[in-house]
Amino acid sequence: MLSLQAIRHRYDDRTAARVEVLDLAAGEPALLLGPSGSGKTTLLHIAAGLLRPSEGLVRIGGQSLTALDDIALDRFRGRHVGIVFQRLHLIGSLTVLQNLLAAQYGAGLPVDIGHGRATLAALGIEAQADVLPARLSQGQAQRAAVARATVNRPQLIVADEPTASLDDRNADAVLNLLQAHARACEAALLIATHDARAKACIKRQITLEASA
Amino acid sequence: MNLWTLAVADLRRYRLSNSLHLLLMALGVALITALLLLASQIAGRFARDAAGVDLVVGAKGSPLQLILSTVYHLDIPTGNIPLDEARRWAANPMVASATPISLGDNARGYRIVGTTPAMLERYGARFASGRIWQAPMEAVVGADVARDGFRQDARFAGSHGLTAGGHVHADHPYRVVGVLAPTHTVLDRLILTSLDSVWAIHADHDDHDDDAPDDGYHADQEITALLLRYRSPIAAISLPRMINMQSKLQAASPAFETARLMQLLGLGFTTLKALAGVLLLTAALSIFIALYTALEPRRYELAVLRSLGLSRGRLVVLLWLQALVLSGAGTLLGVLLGHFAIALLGALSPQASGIRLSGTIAVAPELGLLALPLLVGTLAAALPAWRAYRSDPATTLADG
Repeated sequence: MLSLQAIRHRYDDRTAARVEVLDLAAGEPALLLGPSGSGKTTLLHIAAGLLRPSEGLVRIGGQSLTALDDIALDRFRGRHVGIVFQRLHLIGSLTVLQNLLAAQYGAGLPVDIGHGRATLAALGIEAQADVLPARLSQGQAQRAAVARATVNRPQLIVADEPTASLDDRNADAVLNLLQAHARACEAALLIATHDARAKACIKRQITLEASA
Repeated sequence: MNLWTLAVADLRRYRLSNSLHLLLMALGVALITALLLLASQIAGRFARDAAGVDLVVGAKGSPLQLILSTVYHLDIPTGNIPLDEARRWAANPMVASATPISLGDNARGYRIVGTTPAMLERYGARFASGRIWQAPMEAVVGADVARDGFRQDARFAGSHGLTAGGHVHADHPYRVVGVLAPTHTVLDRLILTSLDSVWAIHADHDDHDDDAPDDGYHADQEITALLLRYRSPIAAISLPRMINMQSKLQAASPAFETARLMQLLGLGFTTLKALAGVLLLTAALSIFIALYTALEPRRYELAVLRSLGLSRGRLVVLLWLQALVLSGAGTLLGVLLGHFAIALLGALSPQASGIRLSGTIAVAPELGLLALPLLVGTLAAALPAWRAYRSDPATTLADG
């Protein structure tokens, strides 16, 4: 589902991230590991189509991202990639449900309130649909972020340090949630982390080396 | 869910500060609207009051004063002119029609104008009740005058002078024989009667004062002015000069004098327009500052919108839309405020202005104001939109 080949990314002549081959099947989870500065976030952004690599090939569900122009890439990312940010970044002026509808709108999909509510229900936060993100608990906000990332049934879900600020119980819950919903969407799941708790529950691990 | 929803949701989030930006815009627009309304209604009123008068012949003095006193009934007359000389000019072949008027008295501040029925025809006046005067001391009153207590068949005495408080001609009461329907001209505030009434009072009046012999009609009867209408436009070239050179009279053109007056007033209007312009510029600046400073706290949200699939172009449209909503709502509110202010002005000082301002009339130049939010909004959104366009979501999101 996700395929990276011979990726190099440079900022100002400094190699920020490199990976030779990375293939993930539909529904398959993997961890992206490595020390700070090894380019985990950069590689995650490259895989998600937020960033074009200096060199190399990115394919999602057979589509080469290099072949897409900027606008098509934006649209493709909205449609086929779900992103869970470390600090969640729910849009504060929109309700939880509207955050999901914004994801549908951004992807150029028809805005489907019923499907939005069903997605929230699957994550157990249907009752919070019309609440602004500021009123959510940490756990509810995590679920809302996962809901927004999965509402379009993406082919790839990426998550950046999703457990960094969580206690053990919540960290477990989020990892399970991500895996369960990635499986449900049959999406590849790529999680950048340095959290040992994640290593225990996801076997597939790609380790980046600190760049020279 | 669309750009509009996103734009409005974000504006609602900071509704207090956004309302203030909007209000600033509204004040600028309100001032401009009020000025447009004021200018058009004053000009319109001047034009209606002077309808059918091409030239005024009166006593020598300030031409502006002559026009103001005899056409707009605002100033005191320059003096009187001999009736026989006025008649000579009225009979001139270049003159299509002539309306004599004779001023000098008032009733509770309303001017009593001795004239001929031509005065009513000039304004196309209709009777709400009663009929035109047929004998001396019969009066026809304008709509505003009637509403102020001078009802049909009422009797009243004139007093000397053009403002209330002069010598009262108690022995010569008038009777209201007719009430005019509103014309929205100065006619609404006048009391009309025959020239004979005015002469009769002042013949007696002179009698009291001077003990002069009273022989009814004097050979040297006078009127205040003669309002002329040209037979052809060519008369405008030669007739005023003829009158000014060949007689002791003065000829003045209402069109020319009001243009001069508006030019004098125009200076004030220009100053106010400049002030309104500064206000609008301030509004544009304030909307710009609002959008620009919001970029920093919003940079994650904008990056997230990009990650959700919105192109750079759509972020630009989003910011532009927000600026348009603020400036558009500000303009709309401003136009309403402007109309409201004029209506208030009209309601608070209907007597003093004499112009009877209305807040419910819209004028064509207001349509030009519709382009204003487009201009202000675009101006205010340009730089923030450019920055949003240039920013890279991956870089932003990598920071947090």
